[in-house]
Amino acid sequence: MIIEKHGEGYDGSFRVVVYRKDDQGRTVTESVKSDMDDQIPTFYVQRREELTRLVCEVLDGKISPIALFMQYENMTLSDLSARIKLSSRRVKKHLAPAGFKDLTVDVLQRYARIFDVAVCDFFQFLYLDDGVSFDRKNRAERLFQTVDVAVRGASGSR
Amino acid sequence: MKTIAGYQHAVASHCETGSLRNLLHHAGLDVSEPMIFGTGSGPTFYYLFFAKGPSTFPLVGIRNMPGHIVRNVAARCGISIHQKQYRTTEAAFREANLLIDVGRPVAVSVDMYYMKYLPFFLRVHAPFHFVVLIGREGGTYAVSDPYSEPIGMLESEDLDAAWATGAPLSRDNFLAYVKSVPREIDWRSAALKAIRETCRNMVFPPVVRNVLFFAGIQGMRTYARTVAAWGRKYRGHVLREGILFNAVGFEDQGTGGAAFRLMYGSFLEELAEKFGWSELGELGDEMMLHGQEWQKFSRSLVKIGKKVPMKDEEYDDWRSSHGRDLDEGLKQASELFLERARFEEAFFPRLLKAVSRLRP
Repeated sequence: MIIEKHGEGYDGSFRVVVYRKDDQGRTVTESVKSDMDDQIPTFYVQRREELTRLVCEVLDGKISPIALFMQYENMTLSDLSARIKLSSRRVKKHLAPAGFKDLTVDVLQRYARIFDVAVCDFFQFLYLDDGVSFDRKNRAERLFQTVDVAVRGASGSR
Repeated sequence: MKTIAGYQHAVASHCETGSLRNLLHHAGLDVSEPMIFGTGSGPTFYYLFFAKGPSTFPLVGIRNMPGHIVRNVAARCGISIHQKQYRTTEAAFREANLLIDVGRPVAVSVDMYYMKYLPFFLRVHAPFHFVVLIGREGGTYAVSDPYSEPIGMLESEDLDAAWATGAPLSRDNFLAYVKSVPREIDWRSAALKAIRETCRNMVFPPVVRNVLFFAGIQGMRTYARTVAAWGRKYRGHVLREGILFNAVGFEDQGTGGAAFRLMYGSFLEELAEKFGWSELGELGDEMMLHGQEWQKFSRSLVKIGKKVPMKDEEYDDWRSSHGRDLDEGLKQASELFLERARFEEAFFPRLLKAVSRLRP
C-alpha cells in the first residue's frame, strides 16, 4: 500500500446543485458551496490519522490488512461479506491476523477488487515523501502491480 | 476521446434523475429534472433502524428504491427504455460496447467508490450511482456523471469492479438505454398517477402506520424521536460523524436540498405553470417553504455536530461541560423535525385531494 506523507488535499471546488426561489419568486437551480465545505479539509486530516492508526494496529499484530481496509473504507461486516460472497463468520476470521494467514491468493484477489488495491497492498506499506509522484497500475486482475515513482519534475523510473 | 455525437453532458442535483434527463435529451425529449423526479414518484421517507450506515447511525431513506424512477417514468410516459440486469459483467460490457459504438448512450448503475474522476471525499461505497457511458477507446470509457462537471474517464478495470459488487441495494450489471420516445407524451396523466403514488407512500392508513412505524410520516416521527436520544445513545467521534452524516444525507448527497423536497416543490410548480393547475402551484410554494424549514433542521444538525470533539479521548471532558447544550440542541432539532412530519402529514392528503379534482 502506498502512503503519501501529505497526499491529496481539497481544492475548495466542490459545489452542490440546489433548488431555490429567486428574487422574482421563480424556482431556479444554483451551484452552491455546501454548509459542510469547511469540514472537507478536516476529513482529509482525519483519514490520514485513521490510516496511520490502522497501519500501526496491523504492524502490532492486532488486526489483519483486510480489517484495515474494511475499517478505512467504513464498511460493515455484512456489506463486506455480501460483496466477497462469503459468510460473515468466514470474513470475521479474515479480520484477525491468524485468519489472514490462511487466505488463498484467489480470495485475496477478490478482496483486492473490493478495496480497489492489488494483492501486494496487503503485504507492504510504502511511504512516499513530498515531492515524489507515482503512477500505479494493477495487472493480471490485481495479482501484480507496477509502480512508476519519480521525483516531481524528473523523468520516471520503474 | 471521441464521445457520442450530439450528447450533451449536464450536471444535475441527483444521479438517477440527472442521467435519465441527459439520456432523454439525447433522444430528443427536453424535460426537467424535477419533472422526472416527480413523475417517478421520488419522495419517500424510511428510517431504516435495522440497517447501519457508514456513520454507524441507522440509515435514512428519502427517495424510492434506486432504479424505480427510471422504471416509473418509462411506464407512465410510454417511453421505451430497455432496462436489464445482465447475468455476467462480460455480457453487460459486450452490450454496452455495441451500443456505444452505434452512438447510443448507456446508463449504468455503479458503485461510486470506483469513479476515480470524482474527488476523494465523494468516493464512498454507494453501489447505486447512475452514470451514462458515452464513449470508449481501448480500455477507457467516457462517463457522463451528473456529479462531475467535466466528462469523467474510467478504466474498464474500475468499471468492472463498480458494475457488479454484490452489495445490498446494488443492481449488478444493470444497463439501460432509450429505445424510442413517443411523439406525444401525456404528462398530465403521468404526473397525476405519480402524485397519487407519492401520497400513498407517505401517508398510510392508521392500522398500517402502526406496523410500518419506520416508513412515511410515521417514519419521520420515529426518526425525530431518535434525534433527541442521540446524545445518550452515541458518544465521541461516532456521535459527531453520525450527526453530520445525517445533515449531509439530506442536503449534499444529490438531493437538490432538503431531502428532495425542494425538487418536489419545483415539480408541482412546473405542473401548475404547464397545465394551469393553480392549486398545485400553491401547494408547490408550500412545499418549497417546507423545504427551506427542512434546511434549517439540517443546519441545526451541522451546528451541533461541529461542536462535538473529533477525538474520543476528549469527549468525556467535553460532555461534562457541554452535555446539557448538546441534549438541548438535539431536543430542539427533534422538535424542528417533528414539525416537518406534521407538515407532511397534512400536506400529502391535501395534495391527494387536489389531484383527485384534476382531470388528465
